Amino acid sequence: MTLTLVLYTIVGAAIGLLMGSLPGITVTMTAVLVVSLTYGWPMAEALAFIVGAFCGGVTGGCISAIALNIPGTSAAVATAFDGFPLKERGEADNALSLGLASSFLGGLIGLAIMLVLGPVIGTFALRFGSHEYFLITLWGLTLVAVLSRGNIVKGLCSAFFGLFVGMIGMDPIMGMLRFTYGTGILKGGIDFVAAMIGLFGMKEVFKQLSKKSSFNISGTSYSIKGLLPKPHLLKRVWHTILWGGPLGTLIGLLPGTGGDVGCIVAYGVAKQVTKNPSRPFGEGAYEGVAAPEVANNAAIGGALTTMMTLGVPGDSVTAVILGSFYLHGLLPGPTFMLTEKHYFYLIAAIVLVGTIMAYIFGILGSNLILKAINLPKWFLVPFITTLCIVGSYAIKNNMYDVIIMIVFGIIGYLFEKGGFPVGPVVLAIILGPMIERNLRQALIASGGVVPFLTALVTKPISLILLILIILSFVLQSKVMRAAENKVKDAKAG
Amino acid sequence: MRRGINILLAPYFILVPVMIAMFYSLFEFVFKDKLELFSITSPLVFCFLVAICLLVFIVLSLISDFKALKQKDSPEDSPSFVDNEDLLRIILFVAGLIVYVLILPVLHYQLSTIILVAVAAFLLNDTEKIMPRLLKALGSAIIFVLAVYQIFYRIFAVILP
Repeated sequence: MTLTLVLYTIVGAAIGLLMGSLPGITVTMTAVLVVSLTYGWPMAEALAFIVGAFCGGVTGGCISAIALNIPGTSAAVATAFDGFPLKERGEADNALSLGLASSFLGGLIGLAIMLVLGPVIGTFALRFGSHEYFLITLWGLTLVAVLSRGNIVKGLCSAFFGLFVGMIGMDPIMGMLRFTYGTGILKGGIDFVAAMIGLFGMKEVFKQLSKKSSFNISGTSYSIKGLLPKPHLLKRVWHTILWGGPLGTLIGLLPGTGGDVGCIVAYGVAKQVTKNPSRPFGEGAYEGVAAPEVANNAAIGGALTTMMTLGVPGDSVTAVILGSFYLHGLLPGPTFMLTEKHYFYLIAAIVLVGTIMAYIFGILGSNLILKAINLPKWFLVPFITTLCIVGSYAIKNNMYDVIIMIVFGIIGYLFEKGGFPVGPVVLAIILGPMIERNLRQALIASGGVVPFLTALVTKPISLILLILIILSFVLQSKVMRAAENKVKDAKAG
Repeated sequence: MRRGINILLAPYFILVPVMIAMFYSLFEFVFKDKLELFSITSPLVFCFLVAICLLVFIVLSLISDFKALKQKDSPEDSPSFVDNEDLLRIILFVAGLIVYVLILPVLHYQLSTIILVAVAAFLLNDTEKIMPRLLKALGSAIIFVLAVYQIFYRIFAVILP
């Protein structure tokens, strides 16, 4: 890890922390915008910037969750349950200090587990054949259950729409042109980065246009001294951190689940296992801030491990990062630990630097970030629009991608208004070509549909994967439904 | 009472034509280009599966949305309801973006983006009088666009339109 890479990671972490703390600008959107800037960059610098922004973004979510009761990212939803009541009690400094320290420790726990499990999973994944490859990529699509937020049918509609978008252009095996309808603009396919910027960035601009007011954070300010780690608070929650970290990493490791599921599950477990909380949960319990924050950051290590060793994203952010790896010529998947082992350790080093810097910037910059949260809409909307235009143009230096970005922005807005989640669209655009390639290779290798289906249930690894896919789809649907109810209850309360 | 429209069914104006276009394209491949559909080496097998699944889920989703529309007593409480004012603002903004895309090759990045940002900032800031609004919009647009140019072009080496 060179000094240049450290600098890129620091800048990425700072940008991620700022963007992640702004409600409405999600970590996914931050990742998309950051990825679009790195097109012409060398691979290592690009990875440092992107992964640094990921670490900063997840940490930044707690700043607005505590100050405004609006999580900056979905991975900080549960932080608001006790973080905001703590702020209301006049303990804003304590809440954020604990949130940042827990995030930092969670990041380190996740990283340690990543370093241990990465090579183990990588070695095991080398046994995979075309059937297992197909099932692994299909496993990534179970994330639809999480992203659908309770409406699986609409989530699946979005996913199949995304699969169609991913099929436009050249067929991945024979090179035949499909669904171009004679237009030159579609011959090269639809660039997923342009689509992602539209679906996450431009859509947000349209949503902001409908919102009447900006946020009111008057009366909230942090002191740097107050945000420094407080031993008496950490002593109170050390046991929560000890189990929350591994739990978050484990959830991050499962294909299709990331920090957003991790934080909600950790909060639920904290409520169950903490017999004597500092205060009742929901009224400002320190454990209620520590558990989700330690878990969502620990999930980073888990999600990156699965993404690199199996090529399956844990959440929409890792889906974007997976796409960016392809973009820069890195091929995450079962052979990653064999061919690109040094990049695994480089990314681990980047996560370490990103986690440390996000913590330091969180302490030093939270007051400044509060001012940024209060930026008026008339400034924020043109600002995001310009970033979307620059980001989509930077892909191939042509205006077609800008047009595609705007079109997908409109699609994203209409989809979200109609209750169709946009996350599955992006996930399917990225995973679609891989699923198709692996399915067709498996079909050809098996020699027919019936032998292919028989192999799925007779090969031991395929059968285990198939069971895990079904289990994770069902469990994720249940967890997310419970989480939705919890969020609704909290809002109503 | 809020004036506006419920756009719950708007996504189907995208999904249904997409599905029709998929089946039309598959029809052309099979009957015009004589490609096999049900062969393990066919490049159409995955497309066909996706088209069928999309059709099934669109139908299921449409049925549930029609039911939801019939049951809703006050559609303005629905998350899919959009005020006329907001809708107009979004349409104007999209129109502005289209004009921007058209004038960009002529005026280039800096000038056209300053115009876009200034107009958007002026229209969105409805809390102040016209002159301060205009000055704020223009000032912030010039500073912001030049800052973006310096940071992205000079530091990040990103080529701007």
